[in-house]
Amino acid sequence: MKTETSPTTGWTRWLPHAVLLCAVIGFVMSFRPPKAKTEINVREFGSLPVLVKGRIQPWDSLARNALLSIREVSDFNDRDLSVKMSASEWLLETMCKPAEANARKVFKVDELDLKTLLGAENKAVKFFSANEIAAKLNDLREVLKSGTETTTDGRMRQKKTSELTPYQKAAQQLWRKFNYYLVIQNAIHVADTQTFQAQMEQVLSGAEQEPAKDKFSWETELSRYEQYLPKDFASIHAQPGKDELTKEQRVYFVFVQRYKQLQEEAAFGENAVGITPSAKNPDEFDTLFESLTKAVFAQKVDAGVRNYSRMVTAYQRGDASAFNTALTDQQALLAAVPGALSTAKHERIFNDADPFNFTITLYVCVLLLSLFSWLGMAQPLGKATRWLLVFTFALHTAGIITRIVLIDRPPVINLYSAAVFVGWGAAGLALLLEFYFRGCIASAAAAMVGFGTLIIANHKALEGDTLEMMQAVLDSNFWLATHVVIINLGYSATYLAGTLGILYVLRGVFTPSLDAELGKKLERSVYAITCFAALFSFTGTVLGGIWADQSWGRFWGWDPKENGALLIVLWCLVMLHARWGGYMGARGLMAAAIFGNIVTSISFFGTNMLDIGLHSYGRSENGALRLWQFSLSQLALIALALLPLKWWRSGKQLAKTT
Amino acid sequence: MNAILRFFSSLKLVITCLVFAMIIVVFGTLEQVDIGIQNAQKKYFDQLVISPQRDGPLGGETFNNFIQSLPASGIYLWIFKTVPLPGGYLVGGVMLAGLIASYFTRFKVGAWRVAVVTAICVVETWAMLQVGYATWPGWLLMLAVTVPNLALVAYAHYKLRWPKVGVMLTHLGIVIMLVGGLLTSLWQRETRMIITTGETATYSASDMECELAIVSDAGDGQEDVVAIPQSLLDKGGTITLPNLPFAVKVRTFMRNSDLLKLAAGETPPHPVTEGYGKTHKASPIAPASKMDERNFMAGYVDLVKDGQPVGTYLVSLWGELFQDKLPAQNVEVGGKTYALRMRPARFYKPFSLTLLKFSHDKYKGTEKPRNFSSLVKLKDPRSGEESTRLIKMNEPLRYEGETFFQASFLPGDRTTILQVVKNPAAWLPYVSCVVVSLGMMLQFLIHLIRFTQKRAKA
Repeated sequence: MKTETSPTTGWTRWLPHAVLLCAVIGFVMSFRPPKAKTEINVREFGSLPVLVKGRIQPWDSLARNALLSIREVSDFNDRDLSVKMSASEWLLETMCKPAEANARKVFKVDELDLKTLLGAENKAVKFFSANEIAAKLNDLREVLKSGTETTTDGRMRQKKTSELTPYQKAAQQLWRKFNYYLVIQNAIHVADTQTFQAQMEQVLSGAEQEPAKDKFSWETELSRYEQYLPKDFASIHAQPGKDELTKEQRVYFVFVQRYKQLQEEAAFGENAVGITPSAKNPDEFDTLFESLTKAVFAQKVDAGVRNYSRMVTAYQRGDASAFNTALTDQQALLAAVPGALSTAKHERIFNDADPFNFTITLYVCVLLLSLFSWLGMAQPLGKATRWLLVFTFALHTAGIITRIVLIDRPPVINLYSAAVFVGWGAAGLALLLEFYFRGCIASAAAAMVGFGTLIIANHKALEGDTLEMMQAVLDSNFWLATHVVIINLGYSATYLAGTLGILYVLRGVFTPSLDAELGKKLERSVYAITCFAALFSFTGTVLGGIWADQSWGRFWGWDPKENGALLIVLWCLVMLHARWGGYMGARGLMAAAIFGNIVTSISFFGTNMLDIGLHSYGRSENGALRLWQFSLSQLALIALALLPLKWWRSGKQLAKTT
Repeated sequence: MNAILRFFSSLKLVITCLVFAMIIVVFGTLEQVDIGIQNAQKKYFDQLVISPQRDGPLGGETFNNFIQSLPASGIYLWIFKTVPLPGGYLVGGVMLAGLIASYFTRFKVGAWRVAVVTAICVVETWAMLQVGYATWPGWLLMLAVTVPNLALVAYAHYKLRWPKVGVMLTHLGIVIMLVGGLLTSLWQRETRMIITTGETATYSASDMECELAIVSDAGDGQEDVVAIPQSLLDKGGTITLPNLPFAVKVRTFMRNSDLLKLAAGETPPHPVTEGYGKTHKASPIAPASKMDERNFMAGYVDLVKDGQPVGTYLVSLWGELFQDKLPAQNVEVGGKTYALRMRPARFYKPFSLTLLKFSHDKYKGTEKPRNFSSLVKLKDPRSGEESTRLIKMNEPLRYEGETFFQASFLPGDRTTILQVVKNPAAWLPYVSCVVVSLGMMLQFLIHLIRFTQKRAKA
C-alpha cells in the first residue's frame, strides 16, 4: 500500500500512544465518583437494594430510570436555577422533602397543546413541576376521557393508540409519569404528616390531654402507629358499628385510611417499590404499604421501614450523622438477604461508570481519526485509529460482560441490549477486516454503526429498566444465548456491509480518493461480510424455529419477527446469487448492501411496530416515522450508487479495472 | 429436457423466486395487522396464486389506508388491488424444482444418483408412514442416506473442488427444509387439551374443526360415539354410518354461524322436528378473521332410516357452548337413545392426563408472568405406565408422538390449557439446520483459507 510505506518519523511515532493515553485517561476521569456536596452519604444510600418489577436493584437505578422516563436524562439539571443533582440526590429529596421536590421543574413535556394546558407562557418552556401538574389534574382528566370510547355493551375503554391525537397521547403519557412520580415519592415516606396530625388530634380531642404543639416527624408518626396498633386484630373486625369502636381503634382506622392511598397510587402501574425484606421470605421485598399492613400481625413496625423513617427525618433536619447511622443500620439489616447488597452495589458502580456513554464519544473519535487518516499521515493516524478502536471495542465488551454478570443472562434480552450488541458485533467484525485490509475504511464503518446503534440504545433506555426481567416464554438462557445472539450478529453483519457500501458510494461519488485497489478491497469486504450475514441470519432463524418448536410445537408460525429474519436471509441469498451469476458489479453490490440496511431495520425495529405475535415487545411512538426517514435516506444513497461512473469523481480510476 | 433443466436451475430464476418470496413475506406480514396470522398465512403462503380480486388488496386495509395518505399513491393502490402474485406454494415449488434441477446441471451429479436419492427419500417417507412416524428415528436415517451419498459423489468426482461440496450441502439442506415445510403443512395437527385441577382428560379438541357426534349409552358408564368429521359434513349428501341404524342427510352446512332466537311467528328455515332448532335458527356469517376468534359451525340434518325420514334437526357448535341453557337433542331409534352433538373435533388418546396442580407465578410486584406450569399424572393402561410429569414453559411433555405444551389457562388459575401438537415432520428442520450450516461453513472456510493463502503469496 502506497500510503502506508512512508516511514514513521519524529513526533508522529508517538501519535498512537498519545491517542490511546487520552482515551484511557478520559475513561478513568469519567469513572471517578463526583465530589459529595453534603455529609449525607447519598452514594451509599443509592446503593441500597430495593425490589422493582421483580428485580433487586439499587435506589440509584430506580432513580435513573425514573428520571429517564419523566425527564429523558439520567440526572436533574435545572439550567435556569443552576441546580444540578445526581439521580440519587434527586430521588432522596423527592422522597424526603416533597414540598421542595414538587416545586422542581422535572417533567419534560414536548406537546404544544399540553404545554399550554399546563400554563406555559411560551413554546420554549420544556419542563414542568409536580405542583404545576397537580394544579391541572382535572383538566388532564378531561383530556384522558376524550381518549376513551364506550363499547356496545356500555363499558368504557381506551381507544387504540393509533386513533389518539398527539395531544391525547401526550396527556396519557404525562398522566402515567405523574402517577409513577407519586409512587416513588411515597416509597419510604407518606407525605403530608401535618394534615394527618390534625385529623388524628381531632379524633383524640376530648378524652386525651392537649396534644404536644410540635410537629410530627415521619419517625414519630410510625411510633404512634405502633402505639395504636390494635392488640386483637380480630376484635376490630368483629365490631359491628362505628360507634362501638374505642378511641384507640378509631385512631387506628385513621392510619389505615391514610396508608390506603399508597396502594391506590401503586395500582395505576406496576411500579411498586419493595423496600424491606419480607419477614416470611427474605427474597421477597415488601412495599411500604404491605409492611405497614403486616405490622398489625407483628405488633410492631418493620425495622427496615423504621430505618428509612429515621433517614427521612434526619434528611429533613439536615442531620448527616443521624442519617448515616440509620443507613448503616439498614445495610446491616439487608445483609441478611443473600447477595442483595453486593448486587445492588455492583450495579450502582456500573451506573456510575456508564461505559456505553463514553463508548459513544470514543466511536466519534474513531470516525474523526479515520477521516483524517484519509487526508494524510495515513500511517500514524491509521495506527492510532486501530489502537483506539481496539480500546473502544474492549470497553464496549466490558460493558456487555458486566451486564451479563449483573443479571446472569446472555447479552441480548430486549431491544436496548440488542442495539448495544449489534453495534458491538459490527465493531468486532470491522476490527477483523481492518487488520486484514487496513486503510481505516472498516474502522470508520465500525464507528458509524457503533455510534448509531448506541444512540438508538439510549432512546430505548427511555422506555424503562434496561436490565428488566424476562417474560416467562423467553425465560431460557440456552436459547437466548444461541438463537438471539446469532440473529443479532447477523444484524451486525448486514449493517456493517451496508455501512461499507455507504462509504464506498460517498467516497466514490464525492471525492477522487477511491482508487481501483481500495474499490476492490471494499468489494471483497462487503462480499465476505455478506457471506457471514447469510450464515448467521440463516442459522439464527432456524435456531429460532427450533426454539419455537421446542416451546410451543410450531417450527415456523409466520410471526412478524420471524418473517423479518427470513427477509434478511432472503436478501443475503439474492445478493450472493446475483454476485455468483455475475449480474452485479461493484456498484450493484454496494447498492444491494445499502438496501440491506433497510431490510435489517425493518426486521429489527419495523416488525415490533406491528404489535402482533409473540415478538411484539418494545414498540415505540415515533418509530415508524424514523424508520421511514431512514429508508428514504438509504434509497437516496442507492440512487447515488447507481449513478453512471462518469459522474463519479473517482469514476476514472474505478473504470480502469472494470 | 436439457432446456427445461437449464431453465429451472438458472440463477436468474432463483433470484426471481427469492425476490418474490421477499415481496409476499412483506405483504403477508403487513396484512396480519388486519386479518391475523392464520388468515394471512392462508392468503399468502399456503397458496398457489394470490389474487387481489379474490382475496382483497395486497397488504391489507390498514396498510392501504396508510399508502393512501402518502402523495401520489394512486398507482400503488391500483397495483395492490389488481396485480396477482405467486403464492408461497408456487414460489417454494419452483425453488424446489430449481434446487433439484441444479443437481443435474450445475453440480453434474448425474441423473442416476439423483434418482437414487429421490427414490430413497420416497421409500423412507413411505416407510415412515407405515411404521408410524412417532417412533421412527427419521433424522438418523436421513443422515444415513445423505452422508454416504455425499461421500459417493465426492469420490466419483474426486476432482470436484471442495467448495462445490459446501454449496451442494447447503442446497441439500434447503431442499430438506422446503420438503419439511410442505410435510408440516400437510401433516401437522394442533389441538387443545383443557383440564381443570383434579380432573382427567382423555382427548384433545380442535380449535378449527368440528364434528357431529352421535353418542349412545353403552352401559357401565361407557359411551358409544360415532363422529362425523367436518369434511364430510361440508361435502353434504347422505352419510351412512357403521353400527348405526340410521343415516345422516345434510341439508345445509355453515362454516361459521350465529345462533338466533326465532322471532314471534317466524318459522324455522327447515322443517325441524325436535330440539332447539324449533326455537332458534342458525344463520351463516363470514368466517372468523381475527386472531382470537373461532368459527361456530352449524348445520341442518335429516336422520333417515331405511329411506324413511326419522326427523330433522339443527346442530350448532353454539349448542355445545350453551349446553346448560339449550335442551339436549336426543333421538330414539329402534328403542335406543342417541344424542346429537355438534362439538369441536375430538382426538381420543390411548392414555389419560390428570391435572394435579396448575401454577401461575408472577414477578413480585408486577403482572409479568414468571412461569406457568401444570403438574399432571400420566396414566397409560396399555403399558401400565403411571407417572407424574411437570409441563412448563419451554419444557413440554412428549409422549406417543405428541407434544403437550403449556399454552394458556382459564381465569382463576385452576384450569390449564395445553397445546397438543402432532407433527411427524418436526425433525426435518433440525436436519436441515445442521446440513445447511455445515455447508455454509465449509464454503466460507474454504474461501477464507484460499484468501489468506493468496495474501501470503502476495
